[in-house]
Amino acid sequence: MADSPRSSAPPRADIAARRGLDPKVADRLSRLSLAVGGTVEGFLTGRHRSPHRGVSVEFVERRPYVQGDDLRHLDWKAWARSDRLSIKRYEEETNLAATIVVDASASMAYPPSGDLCKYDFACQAAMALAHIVLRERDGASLALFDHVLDRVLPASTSPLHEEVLARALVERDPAGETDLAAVLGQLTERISKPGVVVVLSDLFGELESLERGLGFLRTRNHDVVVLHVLHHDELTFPFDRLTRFEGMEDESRLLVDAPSLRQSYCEVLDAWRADVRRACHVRDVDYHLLDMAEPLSRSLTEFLGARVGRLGGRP
Amino acid sequence: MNLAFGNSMLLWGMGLAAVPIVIHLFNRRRFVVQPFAAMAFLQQAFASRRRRVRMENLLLLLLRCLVVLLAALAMALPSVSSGSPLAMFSGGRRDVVLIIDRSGSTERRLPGGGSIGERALDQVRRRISGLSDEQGDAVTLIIPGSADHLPAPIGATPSVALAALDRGLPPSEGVADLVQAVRLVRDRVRPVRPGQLDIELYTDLQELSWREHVGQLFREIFDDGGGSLRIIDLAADIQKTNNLGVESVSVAESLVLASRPITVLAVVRNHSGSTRLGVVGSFSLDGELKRTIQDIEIPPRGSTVVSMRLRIDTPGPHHVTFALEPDELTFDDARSLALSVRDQIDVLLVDGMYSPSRLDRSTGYLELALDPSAGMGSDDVLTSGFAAEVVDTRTFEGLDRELFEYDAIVLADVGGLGAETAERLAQVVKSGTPLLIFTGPSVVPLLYAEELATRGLLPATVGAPQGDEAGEADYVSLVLADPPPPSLKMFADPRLAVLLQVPVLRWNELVPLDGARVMAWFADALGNTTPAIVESELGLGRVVLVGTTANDEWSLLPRHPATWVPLVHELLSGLIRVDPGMHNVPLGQSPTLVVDGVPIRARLELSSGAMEVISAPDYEPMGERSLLSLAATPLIEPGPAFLTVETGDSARIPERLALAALPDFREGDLRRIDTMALAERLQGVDFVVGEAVAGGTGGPGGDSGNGSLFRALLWALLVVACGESLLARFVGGSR
Repeated sequence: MADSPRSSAPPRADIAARRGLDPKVADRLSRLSLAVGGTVEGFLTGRHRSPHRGVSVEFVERRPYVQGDDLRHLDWKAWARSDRLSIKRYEEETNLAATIVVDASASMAYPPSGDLCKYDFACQAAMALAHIVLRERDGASLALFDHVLDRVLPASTSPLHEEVLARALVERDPAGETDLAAVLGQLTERISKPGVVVVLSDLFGELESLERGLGFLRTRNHDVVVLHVLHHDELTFPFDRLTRFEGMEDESRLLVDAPSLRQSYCEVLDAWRADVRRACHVRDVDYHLLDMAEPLSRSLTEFLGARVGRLGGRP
Repeated sequence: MNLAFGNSMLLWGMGLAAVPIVIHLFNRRRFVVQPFAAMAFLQQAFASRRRRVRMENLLLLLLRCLVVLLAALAMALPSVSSGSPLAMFSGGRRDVVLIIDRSGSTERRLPGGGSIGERALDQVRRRISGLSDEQGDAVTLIIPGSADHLPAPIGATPSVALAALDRGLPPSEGVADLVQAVRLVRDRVRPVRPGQLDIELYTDLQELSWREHVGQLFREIFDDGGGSLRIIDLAADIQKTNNLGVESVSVAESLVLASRPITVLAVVRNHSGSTRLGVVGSFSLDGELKRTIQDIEIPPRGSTVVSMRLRIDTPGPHHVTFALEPDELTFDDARSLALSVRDQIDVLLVDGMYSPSRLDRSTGYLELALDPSAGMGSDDVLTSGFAAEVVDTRTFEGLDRELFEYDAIVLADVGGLGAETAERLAQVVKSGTPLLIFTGPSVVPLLYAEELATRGLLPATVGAPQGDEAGEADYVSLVLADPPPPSLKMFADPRLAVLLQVPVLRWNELVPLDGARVMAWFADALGNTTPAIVESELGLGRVVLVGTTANDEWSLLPRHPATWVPLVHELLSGLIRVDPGMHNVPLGQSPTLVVDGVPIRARLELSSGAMEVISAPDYEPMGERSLLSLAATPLIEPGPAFLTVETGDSARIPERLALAALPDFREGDLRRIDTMALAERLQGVDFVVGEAVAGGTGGPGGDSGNGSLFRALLWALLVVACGESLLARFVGGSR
């Protein structure tokens, strides 16, 4: 006598529309930028700070001239004033390589009723971020994962790359279990230069695994952003009947009177989210919750605005 | 614990307690399936809440089951005995009906002293003492067979019931009418005491009291509100009986006249199963021993008649008593008979054809028959006891109050009576004076029909004369009715049957009216019959109509003294004979007596010396006489008694009447009903038989005094329902 929610696979065209970037959202995010904390190593000269000193308009320091220095960097004006040779040092600016990591495990398929699922929502967020990055002539790469790193698209600054990313997201349906430590470890190995890594996931799994994964990224000086995608049901547990809950990544089942567990569930979830936030904070990882009940544009605007303000970068 | 139920069928409703469980199980099969991603947190939350949720759900389920259980239990009207641990929840209100057997058999003496009746009172007193006014206990006392069935109000408080006991219950009277007692419970007690009714019957289990099936009556009581029956056997420790009793005392003669010998008969009954030899009994008159009879032999379960010839010289009220030596049951060891001894019988003869010559008159032969020795003038000749006075019709019509002074009135060939005279005559007859009517050639049937028949003074309509006065046609003769009437019983003896074979040449055709009885027929040679002597009752008096003349004009009977004299004597004696039941009443009942004048006060003297004055007694005037009722003064003491009645007429001497209260001889049969028979009489009733308890407190019914748990269960139901509601609200809120 169990009442099962209906789930049917929508056509691929619908999926593409569902996971793609809404032009209205793109328009709203047009003046935002994925500010970068620290330095990044890009593959082109760009507007982002690079750890390498070089030709740039961003003056950093003077130092006494030593033999062998490039005379092009000699500060002639300082020599005229003080009769001492000194070399000007400038910060080299490079382009941004943003890696967008999307969780494509089975748990991201919630809700399975055919409505917008977490994976769809994460895809929309990923496409929005890619749009922002590519608009800034920065490079955007994409990684999909479940318990392993499933697919990695290399970074590109081409405007056409957005379409490639979208196709990759549409082609993949959520499945499999999650292993953040392994995935982020693999990702760390794959990304040689420090950049921005945006993780879009529900983070369901061992907290320790998340901590280890974030640790891998941070040791390589990546600017890591965790966008925690949760469905509103998972935050508020609105079920009000005797319900048999069935796990989406395993075979676990639980028949409970849902209202009797609501408070307790919310307490457990809040405690876990606090642990996640704390784990991110201690590793200098940006954390932001994407509640699917909130419009994506507002959530991203809020997040990116706050990030720019915090890092002091350009809006 | 002795848990009883008023509506035990409703206990099946307790099965409905499974309904919440079924609903629970059913609901557990009605769930929705929800794929969920955050199962780990859900399981973690469940693990922390599982025990508490299960406990809450289990508690809710239990409370809901308990609500149904308590409701079903309350509807079944449970009750517990006062000794039960649950008695404290019964609200203490016990509704007890105590039926106390006070029949004559309960006077049986106990080996250790006292009587069964005293033991019953002791048990009842202790039983009531175990009840409580404060707890609202109610007691209904019922004394079956007594004039006062309810010595205390229905549902009285224990203290009121005890007070009634202390005032004294009615003494033993006759047979304990158990059926009447149970009907009383059903019809009067049950309507006002609708709840659990616990009936306790204190009895010696005498078989006589259990002649009828009373199970249905008890079931009707218990089906309507519930209840229980407990029988306390008061005589369980008493061995077999050897009781003897006097069954009856009577006089063989119809009339008891002063200075005339009478035969007093006493029947002695042996209630035991063995022959009794050497029994001694004695006759006494007014307390004076007259004769002792030795060596009476009585067969087992049988009776023997003993007799004594007795002459009472003084007219007036007397008592003849026959007494046996006292045995285990003194109740039936003596029996008295109240007699009213007359000096003579005054008969008024109304002659319809007066003639100076006696034998030419219609009443001449009657006069001779009533006093054959008249004119002999010798004291040695024994008179008949009848004193006849002859009047013609005109003189008779002039008599008024004087009519009440005669013991009998005879109309002989009276053609008819005026309306006023007929009315007066009817009043006299209604007050008890018998009327004997002979027809004759003067009788006008139409007048008889109009004036006498309409007033009930004729037992039959009088038709045209039949037969041939000259004797040329066939004659008829008298034939007794079958069975023969008591007053003409002597002619039923085959040896005397020939006395009635006297020709009657002419007669009136009689057609008996409703309520009349034919005492004798006229039969012709061919066996054709027509009513000859017809009898009916009018008020307290009786009327006998003879369909031929009282002289020899139509009938040759008057010419045959051997037939005529006893015939007239027996007819008049039978008419005048006062019903002995009027003065000899069953113990515990009230006599109704005919007295002269209007009674203004009466005084009842019992053999024990007790005296009761009845002021302004109830009476019904009947001309110069009154029908005195002593309804408020039953004779509750066996044996002789005297009643002196004063009238408003100071010139009249107070009338003194002999009375006797007769115990029911059947009470002497002390056989007890056996268990099987008792179960049969109480078929369909759950009952318990207990023995009387000696000593201690609380009485024999202390273990069976039931208290209803209905109210306690309702309270429990309310509490549990509130608890369930609060818990459900709390659980819902906490979730």
